[in-house]
Amino acid sequence: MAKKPAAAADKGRKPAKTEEREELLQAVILADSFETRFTPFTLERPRCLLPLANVPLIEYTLEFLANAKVDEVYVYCAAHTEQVEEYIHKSKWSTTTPKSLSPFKSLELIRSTSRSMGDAMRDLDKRDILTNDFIVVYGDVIANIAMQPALDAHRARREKDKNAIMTMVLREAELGHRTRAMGVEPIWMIDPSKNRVLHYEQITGDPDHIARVEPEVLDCPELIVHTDLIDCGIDICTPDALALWSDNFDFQAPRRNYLYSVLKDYDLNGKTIHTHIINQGYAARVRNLRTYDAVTRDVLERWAYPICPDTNLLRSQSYRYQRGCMYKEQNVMLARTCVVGRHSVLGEGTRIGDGSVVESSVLGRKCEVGKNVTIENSFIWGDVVIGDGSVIRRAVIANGVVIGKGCTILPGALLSYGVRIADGVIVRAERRITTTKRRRHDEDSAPAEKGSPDAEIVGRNGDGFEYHDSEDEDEDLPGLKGTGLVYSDATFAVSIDSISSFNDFDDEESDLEDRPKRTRSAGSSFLSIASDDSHDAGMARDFHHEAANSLLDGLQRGDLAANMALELSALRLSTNASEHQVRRAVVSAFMKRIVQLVEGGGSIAQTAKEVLTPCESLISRTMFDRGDESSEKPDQHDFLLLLQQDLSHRKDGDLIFLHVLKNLVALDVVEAEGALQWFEDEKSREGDDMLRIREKATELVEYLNEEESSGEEESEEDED
Amino acid sequence: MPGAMNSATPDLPYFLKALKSRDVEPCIELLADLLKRRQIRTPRLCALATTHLLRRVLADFRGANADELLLRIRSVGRRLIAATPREMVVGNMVRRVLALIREVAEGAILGSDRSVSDEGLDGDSERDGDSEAEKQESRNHSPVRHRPNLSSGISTFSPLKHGATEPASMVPPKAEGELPGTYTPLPIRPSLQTALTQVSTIAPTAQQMFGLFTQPEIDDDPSGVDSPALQSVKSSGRPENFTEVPLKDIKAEVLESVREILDELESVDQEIALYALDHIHADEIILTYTASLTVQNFLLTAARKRKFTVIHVEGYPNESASTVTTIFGGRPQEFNEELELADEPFKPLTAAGITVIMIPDAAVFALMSRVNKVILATHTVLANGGLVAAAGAGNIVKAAKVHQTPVVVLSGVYKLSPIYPFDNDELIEWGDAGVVERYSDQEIVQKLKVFNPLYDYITPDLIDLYITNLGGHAPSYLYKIVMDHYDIKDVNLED
Amino acid sequence: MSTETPAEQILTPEAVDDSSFDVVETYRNLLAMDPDLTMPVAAIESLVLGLAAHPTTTISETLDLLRDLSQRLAESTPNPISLSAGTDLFQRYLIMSLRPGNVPLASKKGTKKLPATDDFTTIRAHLLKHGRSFVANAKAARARIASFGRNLMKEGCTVLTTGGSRVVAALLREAAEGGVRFRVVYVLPPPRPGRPQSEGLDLVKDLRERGVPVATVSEGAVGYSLAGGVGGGKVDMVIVGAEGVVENGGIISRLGTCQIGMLAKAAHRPFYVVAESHKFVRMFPLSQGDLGIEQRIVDFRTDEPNPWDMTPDPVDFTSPEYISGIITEAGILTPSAVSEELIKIWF
Repeated sequence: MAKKPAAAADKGRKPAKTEEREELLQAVILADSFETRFTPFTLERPRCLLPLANVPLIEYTLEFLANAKVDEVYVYCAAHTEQVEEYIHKSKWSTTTPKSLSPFKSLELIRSTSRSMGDAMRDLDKRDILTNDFIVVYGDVIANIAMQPALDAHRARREKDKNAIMTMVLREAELGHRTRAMGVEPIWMIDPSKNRVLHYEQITGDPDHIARVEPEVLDCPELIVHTDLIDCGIDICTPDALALWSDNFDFQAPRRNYLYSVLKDYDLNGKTIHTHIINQGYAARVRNLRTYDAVTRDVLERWAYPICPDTNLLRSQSYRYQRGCMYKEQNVMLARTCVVGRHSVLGEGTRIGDGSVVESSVLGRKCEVGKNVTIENSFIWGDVVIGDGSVIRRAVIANGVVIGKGCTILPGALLSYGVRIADGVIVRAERRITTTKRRRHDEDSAPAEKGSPDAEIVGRNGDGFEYHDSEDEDEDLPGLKGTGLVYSDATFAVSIDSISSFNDFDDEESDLEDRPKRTRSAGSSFLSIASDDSHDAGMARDFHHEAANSLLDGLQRGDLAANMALELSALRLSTNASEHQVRRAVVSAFMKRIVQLVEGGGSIAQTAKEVLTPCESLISRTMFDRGDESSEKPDQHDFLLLLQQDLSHRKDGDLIFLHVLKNLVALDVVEAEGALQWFEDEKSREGDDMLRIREKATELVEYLNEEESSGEEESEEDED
Repeated sequence: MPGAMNSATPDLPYFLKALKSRDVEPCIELLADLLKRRQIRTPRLCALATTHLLRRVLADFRGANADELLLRIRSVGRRLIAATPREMVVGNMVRRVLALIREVAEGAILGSDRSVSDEGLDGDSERDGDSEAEKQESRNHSPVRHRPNLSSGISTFSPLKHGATEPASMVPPKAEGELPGTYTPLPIRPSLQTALTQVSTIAPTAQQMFGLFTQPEIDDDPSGVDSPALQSVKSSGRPENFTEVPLKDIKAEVLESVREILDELESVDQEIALYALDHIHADEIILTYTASLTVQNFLLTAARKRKFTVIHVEGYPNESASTVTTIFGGRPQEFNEELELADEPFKPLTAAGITVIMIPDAAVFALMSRVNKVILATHTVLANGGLVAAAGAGNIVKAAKVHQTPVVVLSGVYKLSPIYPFDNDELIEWGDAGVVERYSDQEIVQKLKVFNPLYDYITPDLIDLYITNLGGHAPSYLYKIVMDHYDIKDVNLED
Repeated sequence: MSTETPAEQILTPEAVDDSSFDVVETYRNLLAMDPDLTMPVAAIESLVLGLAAHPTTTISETLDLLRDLSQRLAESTPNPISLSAGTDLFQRYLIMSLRPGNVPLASKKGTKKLPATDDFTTIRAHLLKHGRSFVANAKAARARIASFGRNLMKEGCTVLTTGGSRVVAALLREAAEGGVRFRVVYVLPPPRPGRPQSEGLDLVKDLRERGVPVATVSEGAVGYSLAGGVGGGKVDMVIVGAEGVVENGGIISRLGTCQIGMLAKAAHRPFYVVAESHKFVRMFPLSQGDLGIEQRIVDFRTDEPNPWDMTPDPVDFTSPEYISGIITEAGILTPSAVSEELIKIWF
């Protein structure tokens, strides 16, 4: 792990300032959650401006803060900053104009290039704007709870103990509650006497999960283990809490890394983190499309009262409640024979044709729904045209989409902005269709490039193409210029690099792993693409984190392979990590090292050899199918795949890959079959980067292939 | 009332503070927001907040004439009403103020008119002097609107005034409000009442029914809507032309009258309580519902003289908490502000030696046969004598009907709305489902549809008597009080 | 609506010379000219013309004349109730405005005022000058009532109505144009002598053209359709017109209205009456009997023919207890309010 903060260091940061401004309550809205849960929509709109029940998410958050009597708000955005800026400026919240009507004293927008929550927090700390206790919320929090009690409790604790740096607001909700983020279940161990969190970890739902609790946690006389809490992403922090982020430059996720480690290192930093558990009122986060659905239902069913459509959060709106949770704005034109069922929202200027049926769906403004259309459990954001006789179930359809006559949109489909579906087309379940290509963060300002329509999917003279997951591999990858770090200090740079790329692996890995699960759950859970909360691989990540780092250190120090192997296996046993994870750790560690050296100016071929050869034993121990009779070589296959993925977004990864592979074969760590199986694997073709690498390797593999066959003959001869 | 937001969040004092410090526009926004978030709830708090705001708007208004002022108030009113359409008192207060302005403006015109009729020459030259006199006069009589039992030297004069000098076409129905008859505590039978007021009210109503004979400028407005009669009955659209009434002539007086509305809001409970002894007799069993300050005051006043028994219905889920606290003499959270305003020590009934029995909602029917009177507080009272009260009141009233138990409703005039309930659903607010069922229970959230209506609409025929700060009235008589306090032109504030 | 009502075209005050003036004739013509004209207004109109035709100088003279004309009008028709509403109102109006010190009601604030005077020539002049405007006003009143239609009828409701009331028709049309989705149960009275095709059919046709689903039922089916439930029409409210609104807040209307009111009450459905305030009649009927008109609805006899043939336009009295509200151009009144309105004028 990274170096620990010296608690003394943060004592008395931001001097007298704190006292004089004690009155002011500050808040930070993290408008960007640095995730890709809402792609493809987030390609064009920032997540916090996506509408929920026809109100942009951030409105709810601001409403919540206004209700909490916050004075100064900082909106922290990374992606699509200009859009957020524009929106806020136009909104009633803006404090820029002299005669502003905003309830806030000030509302500032912070542009940043951060790529992760960690960076964001560190950035905030650098800016040194948050001078006293402040609230941190995501730009997608919807809550009607009163913050005052939580704040008072927090301040009271602060009075007693400067080290109580953070209070998290948590809402009670049973396991399996629809508004919980599925896939990952946090476990909280809380000392009820102080509401202090003693231990936190996330389980990815495997039944025989073992929580690894520090022994001293058990010293506390009373200990409550909660699995029934929604983490609504509302934290009350002190500046010290920020400082802690800065001191641990490798923290990325606020819970999985930050919370987990801070608790773990209590004895070192002495900081305590507390909770405020509520069982009244409503608080939830729109983490993914699944919770998006759930929260919408909650709002319509008035669990979040008075936050309901007919409260008309936006001045311009005019929703009225009608029996059965039906909300209608004025100037909605309903044909005499159309049926609008319960739990529906109809925006102004929407027209629904004869014989159409709308069931528990949200329609934005100016939607033109033709005759005999069926819309069920869907979200239609506005300015959408739906042709006669089309059927839409459990789909999300963004603004400006045009759906032709007689189309069928199957459950889980996502139609992003401006997509056009030609008449009679059937959109497969869970297909994600967009018209714009993903654009890299560092060219945020640049207009999103249009992709060419794919007639296969949207039909002739339709517009849009399928959006592929693999594309956002580097959605979160920091182009090194992005992090704005000087490149001189190799280790530093590398370790930054390493962490973020671990993240990617993590996401991606779970993507790969979760595919089967996804299809299974497709029927059961709505928009199940979203249901696997892949960025939370909890434990695994911790193992990965530590293993990779220690290996890397080892390599840099030039330790004996044997020792490193020992360390590795020890770590592995302690965390009962899977072989797969081990391999991943090994791969990334080694590749880091190689890259590092290459950057240092070594020739690739040379370096590969030097790094790999001494560690042959170590590497080979990560694959257990070597030399056995079966021609199936899953481990090697997997190893190579990881290798490929790791390199797929490194500078001249293809070359490195080629040489590494060569060496591995030479060292007989990887056998021909393994290489072959990898080569034939679908996954090795996903995405341009992957392909590029595969290309390079082609010759070698083919060569191996021949040798292979000839080799077999020989062996036969031998047997005689 | 539900809504976890209500605790320790911005509230009336907070708003009043803001009203002093910030300028008007933000304040309007602020109030709209507070109303939206239900941070200012309960009819009286809304009424107070609204009136204070309107007063501020009036004070800051820099317009040329009364007409502009009316338009301004209307537009502000629309914004507030849009924020919480079902909290009717907000609309009521706006309409009250509008009616005030009209009255005063008419007073001003009347001044000039008199100059016409008296000197027989165009009054413009004279207006200022005259309207001064007029102002003087109406300042004297305007208290009559709010002070029921005021010696009526002027008020006896006022019918004359209407009968004789005032061009009838200007007198809106509510002008009857000037009459002493309306304000002396009324007997229950309206017939008598009408006998009392008939003479004086000729002019206005004649106006209304004689609408046919009025003279429209056919040439420029064929629809004839320009004729005063049709205008006086035209409930939407622009106010009729007060353009020639300069603002300065009326502003002071209007502000004064608005302040009187505020006084009324402060004192309403006490005024209602004055009638307690007429209605509560020794050893009676009184059934009541919801923790209402008005009712508590009423009962307390009676308790000073008499011993009786009070059955308090629990009212789960929305009312139960506050009910219990009331009974135990604690102060339900939403009362605190009210109490600060009407600085009246809150004393539980039990302290006054009254037996208070709390029963579950389910027991209402069973116990009704023993009850002598049902005394209810209300959320809003509607023009047709129906009312909107806390959900559950419906059951109680029905049960009372079955057992022939008289139902008495206590309500300040400020709760009396000119709205006619065409569509009952529009009146009912649907509250927080989380109060009814645990949100944390995933089965419930997933599989049940939980509804929590906050109000019941109760038809007039189920109510026996209303007691307002003006006295007791039969439901069928309320329309008249509506006429007295609102101007029919303002019923619909949309343009 | 046009300033030139038929009344103008046929006989302007000047056109009439006193000898040839026949008030009944005039009245009939007026009605015939303008189908939209209601009886009270027509009556008033003809009185004005009468006034014009007979130059009078003193108040009492005028009043006698009016009384006489009204008398003649009343006698001319079997059912003078609604007509007399007009004539009475007019006479009362004159008396009121002639009251010493009472400024003519037509004078408006803001505009140049008629000097307060008891010289009734001014008033006479005013009346003759603006006689035509009465019709316009009446129609404006109706339009105003119609405009209430939108908030009266809520989305997806079902209305039961009957009779050929022009106000009801206007109201329903307005609502239909307002885009409100509602259905209508139209109770068609059986054809009567002098009215071969039962009234209201044209409205039914009109509504259907506007896409409003209409069900026409016989008077016998009212109870059934009010009952709601599976077979029934699930009627939400009843709206009827009236020939006259009487002092106690009850109404006099097409025969059959009374029973609808009773059924509505029994079924707890609101029963609204739409009528312009000039239809308020100064009479206090206690039962069907004392409407003061001759109509043999129930007459027992041992020989033919069917008594119905006797009375062309039978009416009945619906007592206030059945009425939820009376919708006038002045907004919606409770029955008790009506009595007050009338009392105010007449005492």
